[in-house]
Amino acid sequence: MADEFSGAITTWDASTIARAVGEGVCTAEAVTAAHLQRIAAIDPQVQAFIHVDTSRALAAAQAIDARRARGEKLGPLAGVPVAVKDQIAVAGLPQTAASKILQGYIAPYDATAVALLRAADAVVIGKTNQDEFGMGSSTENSAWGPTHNPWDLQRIPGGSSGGSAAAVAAALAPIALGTDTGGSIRQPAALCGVSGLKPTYGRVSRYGAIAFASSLDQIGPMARSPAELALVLQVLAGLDPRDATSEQGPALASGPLIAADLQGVRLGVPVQWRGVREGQDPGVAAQVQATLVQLATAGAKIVEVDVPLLDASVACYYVVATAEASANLARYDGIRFGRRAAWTAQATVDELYASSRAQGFGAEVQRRILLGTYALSSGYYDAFYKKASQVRRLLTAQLHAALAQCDALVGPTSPQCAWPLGARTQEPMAMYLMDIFTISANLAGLPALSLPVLPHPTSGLPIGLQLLGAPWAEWRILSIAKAISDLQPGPQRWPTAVEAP
Amino acid sequence: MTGSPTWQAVIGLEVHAQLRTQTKIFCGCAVRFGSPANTDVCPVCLGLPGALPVLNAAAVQMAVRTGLALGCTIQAVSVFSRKNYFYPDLPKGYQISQGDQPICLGGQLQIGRGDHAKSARIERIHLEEDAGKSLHGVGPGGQTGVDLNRAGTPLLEIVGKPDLSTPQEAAEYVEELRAILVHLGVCDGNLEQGSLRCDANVSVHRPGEPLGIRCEIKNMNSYRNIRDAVAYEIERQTEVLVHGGVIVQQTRLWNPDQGRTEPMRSKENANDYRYFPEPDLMPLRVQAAEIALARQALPELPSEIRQRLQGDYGLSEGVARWLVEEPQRVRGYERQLALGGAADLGASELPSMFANFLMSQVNAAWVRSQRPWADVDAALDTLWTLGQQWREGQLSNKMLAQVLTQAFTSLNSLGDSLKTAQAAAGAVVSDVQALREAVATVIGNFPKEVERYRGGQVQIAGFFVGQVMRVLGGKGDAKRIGMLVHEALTQ
Ligand SMILES: [Zn+2]
Repeated sequence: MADEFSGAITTWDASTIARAVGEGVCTAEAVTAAHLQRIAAIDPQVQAFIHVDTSRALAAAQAIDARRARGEKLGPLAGVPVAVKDQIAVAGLPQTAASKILQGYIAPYDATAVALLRAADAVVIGKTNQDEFGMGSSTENSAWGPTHNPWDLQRIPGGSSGGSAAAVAAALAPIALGTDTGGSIRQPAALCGVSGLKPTYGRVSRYGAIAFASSLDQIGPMARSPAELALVLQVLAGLDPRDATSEQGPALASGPLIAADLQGVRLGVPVQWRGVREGQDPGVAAQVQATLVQLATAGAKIVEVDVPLLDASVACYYVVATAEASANLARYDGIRFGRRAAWTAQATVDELYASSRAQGFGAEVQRRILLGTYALSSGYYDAFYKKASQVRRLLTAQLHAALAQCDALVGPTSPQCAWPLGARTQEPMAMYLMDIFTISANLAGLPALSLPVLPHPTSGLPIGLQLLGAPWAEWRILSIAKAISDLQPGPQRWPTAVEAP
Repeated sequence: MTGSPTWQAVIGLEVHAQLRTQTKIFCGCAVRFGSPANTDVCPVCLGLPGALPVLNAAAVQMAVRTGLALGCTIQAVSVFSRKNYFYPDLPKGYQISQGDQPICLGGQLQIGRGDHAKSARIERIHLEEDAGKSLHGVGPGGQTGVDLNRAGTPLLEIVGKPDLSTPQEAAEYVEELRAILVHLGVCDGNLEQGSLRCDANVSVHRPGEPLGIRCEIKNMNSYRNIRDAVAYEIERQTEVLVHGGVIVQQTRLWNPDQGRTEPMRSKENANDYRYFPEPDLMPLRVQAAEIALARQALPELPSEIRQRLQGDYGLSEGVARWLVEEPQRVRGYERQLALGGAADLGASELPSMFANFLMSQVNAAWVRSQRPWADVDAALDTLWTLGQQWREGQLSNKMLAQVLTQAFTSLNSLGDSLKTAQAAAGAVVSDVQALREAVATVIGNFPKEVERYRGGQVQIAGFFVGQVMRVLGGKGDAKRIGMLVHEALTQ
């Protein structure tokens, strides 16, 4: 078993690190130091991190080592460095959601997800970049500048959890936390060639994650394999008395993830997804199709399913999400915390709100606040918010019906591979359409993951395959994902634009 | 113009009651008055990034109790909503309230007495969170500060239908509602401190015509304010309409110093609150079993207690109402009756005498003293004895007033102080020999009056009693003196 621990520490996955630290093969401090060193060397090019917590990460690692020295049994993530999306609270660290309006704000408490990771003996190494408040698909909407894709530094990493995806891809951290409101974990995972899971709504506590759209948001893991996602999910899952929308849910399996037997697995391809033409890269479609053919050869049954309201999902999503966001972002007003505009004695408090918010929020956030405010306004509520809520209920029912016929819905995570920085910043509608495959899981509260499959035939950029499961069926889609990655082993691939670990 | 028979007022009240839960409605912070600013706070009630609300079950139980006491239908499913507006003391930029699906619907409140008795309908009751407080001029440069201790205090909003027609009815409605809330133990009912707040919707119209445009009146923190503000507003609107003007729908504040209602800034009248379902909270479900349990646990309500006191002890409506106003008052009263041990209270005058004694003599001294009623409650046994001595004439009115004033202004326990003051006032002279001597002296001093009495003017007996009292320095047993005077004069 010695070769399990060969190679650079930064190439080890989370379970390997936890075993090594637990068995004393190496210290948590050495693991943390190795990752901090790599961050210092590589992150100036990638800019995955907004804040690296060097001293406290090392101190936390030393404390774990001390506990092991005293003979204590360590947790399932012993010494595993974790990168946390800036949207999520880590006590004592800045929490800006990549917005200027939260400049200077330090979170006074840990998000429940972070507290659970710490209790499992993981080590928080820093906060990662993102689109402001989770609003975007490229991590270009960050007040602190864009993150670069480790596969091509001139390209975007996807978003909004682009920093977390890039950090995991570039071996700056074996695992990361993201948040997913309309694909913000799965799409950057796809574009950076890593795995990402959005759990069932309620599976993981949202307490401490800055709310973008409360009924759609979920915290979830990002890692380099489905097995790692499963390991982290076991730590994160469960009812939290601080989040009234969290639930215990049916138990996850204990122990490591085992690949599903593809014989007898039924995968549904919605005709509506297959019909997407606008913005669909044919290379992406071809590789997804090739993967489906491999799966069929291996015994999986590929069936077509009809989910008519998928065609309405983007429109529905942008009403529900912006409406909730317009209220969720009202607390950022410059009065109690964060950044306040200069105030002249003559200005009224309303003028102070207006100038603080105009200066503090970026253009995309302002656009969505306006859209959401409009959708809730007297005289428009019925036509927009109420109608969208009805569509959402019907879409959910249609998805449940489709999932009664198969184990998972399958398709590309994103219609495109990573695009060049700046290419779409002037076309918000084109950007919104990038979410077309991911948002239905949020609208229906279903678990969904993205895993890397065959790379793009011409660019060689990563492509993600999405699996969307029935409520609480995370373990089922994770085990199918593991079977798929076992089917496409290939050589271990590291991003080509940064020095290999 | 109020008296003009052609115009009629239509009044509906919205009452906000702070619930007496241990902790806030959506977090674990303590609910209490008087803590230093911003100390009873946490990420949730501060509205910090990422914090989420979790509903306090105790607040729900109190809402259910209140709904049942007011005859409402408790909804199996109700929904929290966000009411969006910006204000510095509103940390999240929205208030979590209930919109079109509140926890209680329907219901009624009985107000008025005798011929004026009336049933006012309740439209709905809903749960919501209170905001913080803006503290003006507290900064070093006179800036406004914000204290969020109150933010997240559970509130019950009780919305009445526009069934009231006079300022008096409005005040009675709030009085009766307050009595119910304090007897249920869900609110401490302090209008001055704002734990109970009342807004009034007032309009006027001519009978048979459609309702008039209404104005909402805020900032009334006493019954008197309610009566005065509503009366002013009716008069103001009538005046406008009589002169052919139109009422502008607006929110107006009662200014008690000027004695008038004044419009709020027009901007605050133009809010679109953009209500939508609160996605952080699941719909609130109340089980039928919970409702049944709450119904069983309902205490005797104020109207029931009043009826019983009037029926059993012959108390007047006014006295019964005064006693029942405060649960502690009526409970202490009934406890004392039991302790006092009169064999058959129903047939005795003692209960009624004691109630009158408390409401007039004791209450006057208590109001001046500003002591809590708990002090009176602890001294009821002593007051019981005192009341009987006074009634039997062993204590003159003057002496009683003196004893009460002294005792209430002392810093010691009221019971002890009463005894001390009573002793200091001196023992009542009821020794017959001493009284006879005093009577003889007075009769000797006023021969003319004696003649008038003996000539048939028996009503001047009181004059002799007064004079005897004077001789005794006010410490005589008035009843015995009266008997002795009569005896001496008819000899
Ligand atoms: Zn609190």
